[in-house]
Amino acid sequence: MRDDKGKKGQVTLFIIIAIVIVVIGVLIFAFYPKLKATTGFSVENPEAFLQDCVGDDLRGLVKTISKQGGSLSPSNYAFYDQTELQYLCYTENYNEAGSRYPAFLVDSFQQEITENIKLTIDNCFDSLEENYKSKFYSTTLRKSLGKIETKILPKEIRLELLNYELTIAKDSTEKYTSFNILLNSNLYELLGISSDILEDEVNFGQADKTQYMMDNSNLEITGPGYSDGTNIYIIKNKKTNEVFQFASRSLVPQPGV
Amino acid sequence: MKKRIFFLVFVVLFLVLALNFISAETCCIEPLEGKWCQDDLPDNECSPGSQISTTCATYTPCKKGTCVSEVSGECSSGVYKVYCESKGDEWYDQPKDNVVVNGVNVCRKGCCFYGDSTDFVKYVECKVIATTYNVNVNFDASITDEAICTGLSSGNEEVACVLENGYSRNCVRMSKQDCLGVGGSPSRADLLCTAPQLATDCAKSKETTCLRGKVYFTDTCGNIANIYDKSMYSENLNGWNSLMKDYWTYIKKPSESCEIDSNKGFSSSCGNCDEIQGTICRSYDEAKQNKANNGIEKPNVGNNVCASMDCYYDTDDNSFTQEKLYLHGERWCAETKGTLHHIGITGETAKFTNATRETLTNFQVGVSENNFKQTFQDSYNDYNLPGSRYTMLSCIDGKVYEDSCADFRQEICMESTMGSETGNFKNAKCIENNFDSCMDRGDKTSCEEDLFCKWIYGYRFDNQKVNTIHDRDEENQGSCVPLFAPGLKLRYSEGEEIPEESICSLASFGEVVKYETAWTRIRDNFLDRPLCDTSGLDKNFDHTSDCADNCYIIPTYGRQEYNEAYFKIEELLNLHKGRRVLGENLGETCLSERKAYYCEDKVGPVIGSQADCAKKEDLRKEMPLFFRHDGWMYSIKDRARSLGDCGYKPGIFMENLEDLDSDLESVFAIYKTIKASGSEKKTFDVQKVYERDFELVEDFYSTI
Repeated sequence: MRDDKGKKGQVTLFIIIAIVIVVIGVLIFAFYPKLKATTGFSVENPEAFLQDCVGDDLRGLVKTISKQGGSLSPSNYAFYDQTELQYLCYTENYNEAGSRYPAFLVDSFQQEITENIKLTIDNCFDSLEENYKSKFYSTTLRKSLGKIETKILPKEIRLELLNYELTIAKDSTEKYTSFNILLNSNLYELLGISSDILEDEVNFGQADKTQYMMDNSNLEITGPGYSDGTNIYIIKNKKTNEVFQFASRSLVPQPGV
Repeated sequence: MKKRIFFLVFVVLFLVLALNFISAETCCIEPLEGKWCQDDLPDNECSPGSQISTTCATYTPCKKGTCVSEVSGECSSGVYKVYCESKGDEWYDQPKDNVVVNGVNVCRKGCCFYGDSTDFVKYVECKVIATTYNVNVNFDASITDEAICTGLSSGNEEVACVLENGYSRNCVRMSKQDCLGVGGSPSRADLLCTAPQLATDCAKSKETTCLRGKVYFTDTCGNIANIYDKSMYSENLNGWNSLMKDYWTYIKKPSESCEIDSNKGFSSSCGNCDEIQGTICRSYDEAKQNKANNGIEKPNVGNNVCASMDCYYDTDDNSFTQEKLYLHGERWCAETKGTLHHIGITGETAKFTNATRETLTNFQVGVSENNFKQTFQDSYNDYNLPGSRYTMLSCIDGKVYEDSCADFRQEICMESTMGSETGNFKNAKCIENNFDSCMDRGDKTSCEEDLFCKWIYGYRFDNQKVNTIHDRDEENQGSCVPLFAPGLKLRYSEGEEIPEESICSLASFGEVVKYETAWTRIRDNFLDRPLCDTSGLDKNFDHTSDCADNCYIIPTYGRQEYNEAYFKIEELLNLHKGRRVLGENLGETCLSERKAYYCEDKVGPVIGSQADCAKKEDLRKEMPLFFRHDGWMYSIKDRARSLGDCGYKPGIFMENLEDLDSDLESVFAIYKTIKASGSEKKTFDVQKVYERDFELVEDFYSTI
């Protein structure tokens, strides 16, 4: 009889443990983002925290800028799919080659990221400091001289955070002055092809999308041509689904005579 | 005998766009919205102090050229000088390829050397490699061939690198330098990690992966082995022969590997895919989604196959779905509504095929003049209609892409077919509808020399009449018009420049028809007189009998009898040369009975069936522009509708022709009586003769 009772007790215990595991699992699932932020923090690796904190915003920012022709607030644009697409080559006249604006796509895109990610980075530094404080570190954070350098490189986008000074002290003192944030991205390739397309736009008023696709089998280049002579280009990496799209109007023949 | 002459004036009216003149007198160098160098912007849209009193085109800082970034070395064409320099970059007044900075042709692709590797890239990209990999680079712009550049690479060849760690003997493929760098032992260059002599932990596996479009075996360590070949792997340990063992020992070039059956176009047994031949590595599930891979088998080894990149597509613009196979890389023209489908070009001269030209050529004097109507209707209701647009299609990697040619038929889609090993390979291109020079070409030969023009016999744009006393001058009497009627822009946004004059206005003209009649005949109320009286009973004025000049404008002129068939052109030519017409008296036909129509300085009626005076060449008048009314009608219709979206043509979305404005093509008549001296005596109201597609208006019709 005692044995039976003992066995029953064991079974009950296992059931309780199973329920607890399931509940923990559910809680992890429900609060995953928050837990992730907490687990992402490692005292020894503030850069990893920043990477984690900035990553999503950076990805979202790059996606938005890419969809709008390299500008977060397009000034001269055409509509496509309810999105404002910056003209990267434009003339309002007929039979005239368009002019490039901005002149350099990579430079301009880097600048757009730098200008628009600053707030996120500042907030993430504040959050990082808070995390240290919650672990009873004394911290000094100097952001005023902080400078962001964005580099769009093959396979990645790199944010170099310069002159952000973070000093943490508990048993010993550590000082961090430079941080890198990386985002895996094939944007560099998309911008390179876009620059080539824009050269064709300036010289011929259009680019041979089919030929570009034949030469770059990982890319899909589509987009309509509007009646006013505007060409929309949507350049997509077929593997990663990254997209860069823009508008161009150049060397448009005048209808009729 | 005192005669009176009536004037009958016909005018064809077409839509004339409003005139609007816009002139540019100021140039805003830096507008607020970022569009540099804009003419005629209001001050409030221009940055303070950047408005100057000249046109941007004549202001040097607003010249476009090549801008080279001081920071990154990037090059861009078509950049305004002032904008480029405002950013501290260098501007060059020359094409991108000619820009040289510090002796380097920075904007051209060249060979970038780094370590033992090379890459064929632009100067700026070479610098990026230096930054990314933190290596020293050298750029040689004089190497302009990618193959030569690649050939100069020496050290990036991968070898099997054996990494010993206690009891494990791992192997990773990497460059020899990297291998030495990680303390590994680089093997012979031709060995795979699975080579028995290396005795590594990496074994043969039945896994495959996609690399550079081909299917490769991988070993159990995840290294790339040779190209996948079903016959080179066996799950049965006893099933391995020496050839198979060899295949997992030595690196084989693609040329030494299996080949895909080109007739099939895909393979699940050989991974030597070739994008040029239209095959690429894909997972089996992905491949199955393309109909061009119908019948492909699931591979026994791995899950990747060489999939066909061809496409199935239904190009016909009809309700029957009949998909055809198109090869990867093929381009062809879509059958868009209102365009001429599959415009072919022939040979090296790139001329349109005869079929294309014939389809679009309607009015020609001579034989086709007798059977004109059907051709005309077909062509003008089907091709180059308002709103239509040519579109090119292409098959790339199993998907069909649409590429619209420039709207308003500024471009047309042309296609050609080349023979290839796998059948006919289609190629297509949107080409500029280069009709601009047509109207300047004053003769048939020079007109038809141009790919995009066609000659229509009839009126000349300079209104001269150049026919001779012997025949009509088909070479010079006519107009050169676009072969593919271009579209017209009819809506303009605010501030947009509106063309001074529409091309359609070129089709409008006026013509004077003279009548001659005796004072003894009743000639008042000529509006009520018949156009043609073949009964011979009414001896008073009728339009065709009493006509003395440009008679072809009168409806029914040239008919044997009222409402009957027209005379043949050859017979009417003979009549104008003084020969008789099929034994009929002219009074019983819808032809002129006045000598003045056939001969110079002659008055009075023609007796019988021939104008005798015209037998003498010194008396004969030049041949009229047209012998029959229908010829005149078709010629002016053809000319007007060929010029563009002019005249009575349905748009592509128009289901009912009746919806078209009846005045798009109209003919009006103004009757005047004049005195013998030539001065005007009386002018009657303007009367509409034709509307819509040359339908006689009811009021006018009642006078017949």
